[in-house]
Amino acid sequence: MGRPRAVPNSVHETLLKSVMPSGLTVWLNPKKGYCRTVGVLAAHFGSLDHEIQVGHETRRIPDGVAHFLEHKLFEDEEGDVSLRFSERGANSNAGTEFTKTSYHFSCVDRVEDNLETLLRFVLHPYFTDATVRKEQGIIEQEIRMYDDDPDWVSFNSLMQALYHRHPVRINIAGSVESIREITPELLFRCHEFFYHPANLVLAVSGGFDPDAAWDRIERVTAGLSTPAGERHRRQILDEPDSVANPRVERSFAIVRPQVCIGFKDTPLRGSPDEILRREVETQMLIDLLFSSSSPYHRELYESGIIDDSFEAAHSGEPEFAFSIIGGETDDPDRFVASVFEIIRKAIQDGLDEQGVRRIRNRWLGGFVRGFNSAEAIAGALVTAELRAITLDDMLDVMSSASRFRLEERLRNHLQESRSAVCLMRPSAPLK
Amino acid sequence: MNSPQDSIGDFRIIRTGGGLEVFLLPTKKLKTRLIRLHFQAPLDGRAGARALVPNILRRGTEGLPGMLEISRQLEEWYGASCGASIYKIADRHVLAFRAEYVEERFLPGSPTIEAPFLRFYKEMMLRPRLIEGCFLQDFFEQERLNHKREIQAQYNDKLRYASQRLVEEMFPGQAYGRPVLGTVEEIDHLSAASATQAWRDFRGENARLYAVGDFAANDLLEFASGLPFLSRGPSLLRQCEKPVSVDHPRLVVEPDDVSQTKLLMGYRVDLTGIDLRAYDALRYCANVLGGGFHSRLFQTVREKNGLAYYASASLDRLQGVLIVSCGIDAAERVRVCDLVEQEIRSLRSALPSIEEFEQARQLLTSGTRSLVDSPHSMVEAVEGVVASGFPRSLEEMVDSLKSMRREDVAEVACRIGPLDTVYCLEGRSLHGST
Repeated sequence: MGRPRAVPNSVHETLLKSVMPSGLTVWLNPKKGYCRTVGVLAAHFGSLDHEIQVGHETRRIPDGVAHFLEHKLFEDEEGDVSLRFSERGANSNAGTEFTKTSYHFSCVDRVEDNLETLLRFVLHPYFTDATVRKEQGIIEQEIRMYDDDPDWVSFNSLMQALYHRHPVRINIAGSVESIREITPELLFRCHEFFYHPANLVLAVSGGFDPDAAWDRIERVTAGLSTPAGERHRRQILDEPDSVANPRVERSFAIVRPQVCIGFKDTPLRGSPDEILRREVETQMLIDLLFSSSSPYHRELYESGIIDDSFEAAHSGEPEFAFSIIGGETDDPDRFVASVFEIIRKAIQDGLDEQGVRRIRNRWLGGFVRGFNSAEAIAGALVTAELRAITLDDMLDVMSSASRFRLEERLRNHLQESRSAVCLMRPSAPLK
Repeated sequence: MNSPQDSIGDFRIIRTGGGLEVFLLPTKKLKTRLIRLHFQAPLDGRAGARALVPNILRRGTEGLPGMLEISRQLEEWYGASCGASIYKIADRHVLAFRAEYVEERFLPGSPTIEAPFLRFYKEMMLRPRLIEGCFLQDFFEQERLNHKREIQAQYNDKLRYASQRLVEEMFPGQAYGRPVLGTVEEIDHLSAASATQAWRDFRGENARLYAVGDFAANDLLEFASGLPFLSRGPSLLRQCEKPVSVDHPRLVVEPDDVSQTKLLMGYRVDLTGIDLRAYDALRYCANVLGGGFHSRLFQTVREKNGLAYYASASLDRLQGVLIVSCGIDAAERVRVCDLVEQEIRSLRSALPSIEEFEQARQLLTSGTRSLVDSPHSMVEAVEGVVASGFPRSLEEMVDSLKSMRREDVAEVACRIGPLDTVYCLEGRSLHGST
């Protein structure tokens, strides 16, 4: 509590943290020589959240509410909040993910005023029938824009193939139909439930004065009541280990087939550290098997099965975890068979100790490099805080990743029986 | 530039004995060091060959014979990275070879990275794997195929595709209308020998080395002296000819299987005899028109009329092209075109309001000032000021932007010509017949 205290770290950064009496957590990262400042305020409320408590009653909320609320908070009695930022030369934006909604600004002047605007607009809801109706039209256009993005469509199709009922299978923006169910009353209720200070994290990084920023944050939030609640906790949902549908195909306006293979991980009811360790080690494993330093990658590349569109990544949260391996290919069946063959071979032969060391080095370098960017730092601080970990925890986990642990992940995670394939075939002839 | 300069803003300009200019921005605030070697050539039928070269160079060098060996070595250097960007500046084709690595002092045990990594970078540029003086046939064939696919895959990103189609329609047969990756036809006609020649031709092109980070000038100069490239003109790339005027706008509608229709409207901007003040005032025009939430297009098309998710304007001040871009329902094309035209007319005929002008001022000055936090942005900014023929520091750019008056903006808005071309990638309509 009280003024922010320095948090030691391994990357020579000034990191200050405080949990305010209201429950709001604040991270400050002043950077010498930087001109810009980035502020991020994030709510632990994302598209996965489908229920709110109203009194003793649990109410289901329509798909896309978190995203709709993100749009609508930018408008209050005085109009468009973005304009207040741009009057000061600041840029503002926001984004909704599965597990959080983030609001951010970047500026070079009047940092404290922008921080005040950020806190005030996110904490102050204002919705009317007319503004909600207008937003439905805008979000409908946004949904349709994403409907034309083959990567996004492929990703969502794969989630629907991997998951039976987990909300990760639902489009973050909802659907044109679901957003029509949204009313001002519903938005007020969701705001009350999810946007209390204990469920929010603020991070500021860049060329600002931490004392002045802190004083303003304290002043703006002084009137907020003591914690109305704790940080929102999501239940691990009852989702079968099996996949919903091992193969989906659709046609799309693209020029070559796109294929992606998803591997569904089992939920982990562990501590934040354990969840982080599993996430980092799984991503390192995926890198070791499928990045361009792998002999398997060379084989696929040189035989023409993959090209630069090839990607392999892991996404691990407490609530869900999956890996995706995909790209464009002329021969989707061979692509899929080759990926499974690589996994079988890797299980049989074991992993390369030197390879693990190299991947660790790459990750360490990438970690340090991230501290060039105020955006990246503010985003990482918010994400880490909402997951109850620190940036140094990430460093510890990547420094201590071992071949043995990666092999354990290889056997337990990359299982064909818990995988699904999404194939997008071109609907149109080549342009 | 008539006489060689020693600096532009915070960039120091040093020259190797061989005639390569090195633009150095020394700074201690970053955790990395960045090197970029740029080659400029006319954007013509060789663009495909030039764009293919970086993909072949990364396949193997004399010392590291394959991509696997290179990738492993880069991992040993804590994720040091090499890559290439391909873009255009007016009618010039630019290849930018990037190399970035983490400051040794931020890594456990301060490992030695810089010296061996820069040796490798030089080897990649100068001593790729060759057989009888030619790129390896295997590498060539495979990268040619991949490059061709990359060109075709540009269609997958509908907005990018539509933007390229618009400039093709606006500049048929001209350099600016050409795609920077080249065309499938160009790629089909290449051989390993012609691709190798494109690489050898770098020595005759206009080259420049940029460096941002905690470099010692002498070390950098020593590194640059081993590069057999030359900085040669032209430095000024801004178009100075009067654009051809059009009687009435061309309309190109291409039906496609898209959910959201992409509407692009192209205007030519007359840059003849433009002075520095007018050149900067053009940024105000684009910003007021479509530079963000505050802009007329965003407010009119999206906020007031709910007709689009995005509505923005982008300006290429070196070529003299203004492009308006909106994602709309197919049925609304005519309505949106009318709204855009109305805003352009009003920009030409009246002063911008005090409010919108001030907002543009704030956004443009802070956007310019904040470039200093990104090493890549700084390189591209200094490259842009040299090409504009108005070399100056960021501070001078900011001062110029600050000193602008509304009258300057209204005056320069008259340089925006009549609507030249409308390109519409048209999807199905949900709101009525098209």
